[in-house]
Amino acid sequence: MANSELSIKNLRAGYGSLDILNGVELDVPSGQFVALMGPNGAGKSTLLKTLYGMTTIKDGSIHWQGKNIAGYKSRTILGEGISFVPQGRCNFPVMTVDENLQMAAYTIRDAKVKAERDYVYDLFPILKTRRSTLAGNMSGGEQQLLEVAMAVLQRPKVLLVDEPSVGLSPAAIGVVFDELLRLHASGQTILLVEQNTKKAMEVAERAVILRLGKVIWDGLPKDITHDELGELFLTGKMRGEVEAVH
Amino acid sequence: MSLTETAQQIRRRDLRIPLGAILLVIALTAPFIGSRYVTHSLIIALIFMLPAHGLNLLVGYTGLLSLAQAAFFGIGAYTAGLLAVTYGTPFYVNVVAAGLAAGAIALPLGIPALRLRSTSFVMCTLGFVIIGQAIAKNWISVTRGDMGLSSIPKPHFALGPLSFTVSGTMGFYYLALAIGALATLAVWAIVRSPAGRNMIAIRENETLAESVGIPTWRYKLIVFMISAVFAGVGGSIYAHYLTVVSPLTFQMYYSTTMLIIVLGGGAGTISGVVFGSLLFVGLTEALRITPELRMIAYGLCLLALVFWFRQGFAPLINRFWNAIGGAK
Repeated sequence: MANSELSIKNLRAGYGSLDILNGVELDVPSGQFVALMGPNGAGKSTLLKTLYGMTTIKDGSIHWQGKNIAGYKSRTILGEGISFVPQGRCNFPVMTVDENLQMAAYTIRDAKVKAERDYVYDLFPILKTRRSTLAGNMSGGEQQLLEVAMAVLQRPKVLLVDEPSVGLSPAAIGVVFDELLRLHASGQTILLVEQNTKKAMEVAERAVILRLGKVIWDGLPKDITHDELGELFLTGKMRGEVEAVH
Repeated sequence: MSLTETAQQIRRRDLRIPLGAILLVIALTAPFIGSRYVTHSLIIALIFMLPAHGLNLLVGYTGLLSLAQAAFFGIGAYTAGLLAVTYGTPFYVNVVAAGLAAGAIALPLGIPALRLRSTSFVMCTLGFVIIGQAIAKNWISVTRGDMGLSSIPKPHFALGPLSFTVSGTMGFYYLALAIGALATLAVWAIVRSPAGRNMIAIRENETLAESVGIPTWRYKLIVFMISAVFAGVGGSIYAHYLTVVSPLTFQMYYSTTMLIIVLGGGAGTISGVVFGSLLFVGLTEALRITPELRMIAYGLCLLALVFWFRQGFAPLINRFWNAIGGAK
């Protein structure tokens, strides 16, 4: 792909001596909304963590804006314009929304912190109304928004989002995904890992399916039905391919 | 807000000021009110408040459970004792040196220990106390082994023409009270600073703290050292108060007492630690009148704590304080 900003080649990575990713190949052009899907243990979350420098990389490269960032520390990667929203509740529950955003602005110079916070409040007005509320006292959906906001505050070029729907009510999931769509509409590149495949296929422009640490399908969400997706998850093959073998 | 409501709030808030004043008066006149033994118990409580404050920074604010506090307490006591006995250095020099020595020793101990997480870290810190005791017992040429260091002089101040020795229990009480108050203020300042908030961030979610760019490891190491400084200062005052230091200063019992003060008082709160030191140290001293029942009563208190006050007494104190202050 010509204008690909993020280019992953033959990536092998995991935890300690355990390999989870076994040669991932993926190119993400700027401004794309990609949903990473796959069965449990496929390496979806591991791929995001690897992009954010939180795993051990054995082989392969991650080219980002022409630079190989494989092996960089999280902090450096953040500086390079990649932000990560981890899975599960990931805020500071005993701090207010305001303080959480201040923590998220840790690497930003003091003078700019307020401006960046206002920028986030403009993006997520709901957080502004809750600015003095303790994060732990907010609903799951609001907390998830706060976590996305904390990542967006750094004005990343790529936003990595790991399963934002976990533990949320259907209504809250709707709100979170609407916000992701809105961010994308303003040009934000997003890599989303999601178990809720139905929702993910609705919002993403591109679906990438991982299985056993490899990309096994890559295409437009409209080109694959839900049944085919299930088939892929279970067998790693499309029905048609299975029949072709026989 | 209506006028009556404001008036009512002012009327109710008044209660906090008189109570604060009463507590201050009690603190300042305690040696005259209670017996000499009560004053002694209070001094011990005030001395233990120092390592407990340090431990609170570590356990309560940064989320690192450490049992090493008695080791730094012992290092402080021995530093002050050795300096006073061998070189005859004045009290304030010994206190500062004890704090610095404990903090300096915490650096090489903390570097490997803080690479460990949760239980492994706790086990490692437990080892420090045992090693400390073994060194104090066996490095006889310096520490005099089990004989310990005796006849450590009482604090003596020589400020120009003014020179006095704090010898009596009463005098020592005021010294301990002043140092305790200073330490409490120091902890308050640390916790209120941006660094304090970063510590809380590490406690709440270390991975997230790391991912927003806080140098978590460096923070933990610095807090570990600061907490050792508090323990070292506490140990030096203990040495000057008892005038004797022995390998028993390195006791697991001390580490657990400090931990009980922090957890029982309320980890992550300053008032909890102040209250906890008075309650738990005071209690063990006060219960000496019934030696047979002492440990049973102490145990029952701890059980009550676990069942009814999981977060220590701090929430209770806060609720009471807010109630008399007229807060909602």
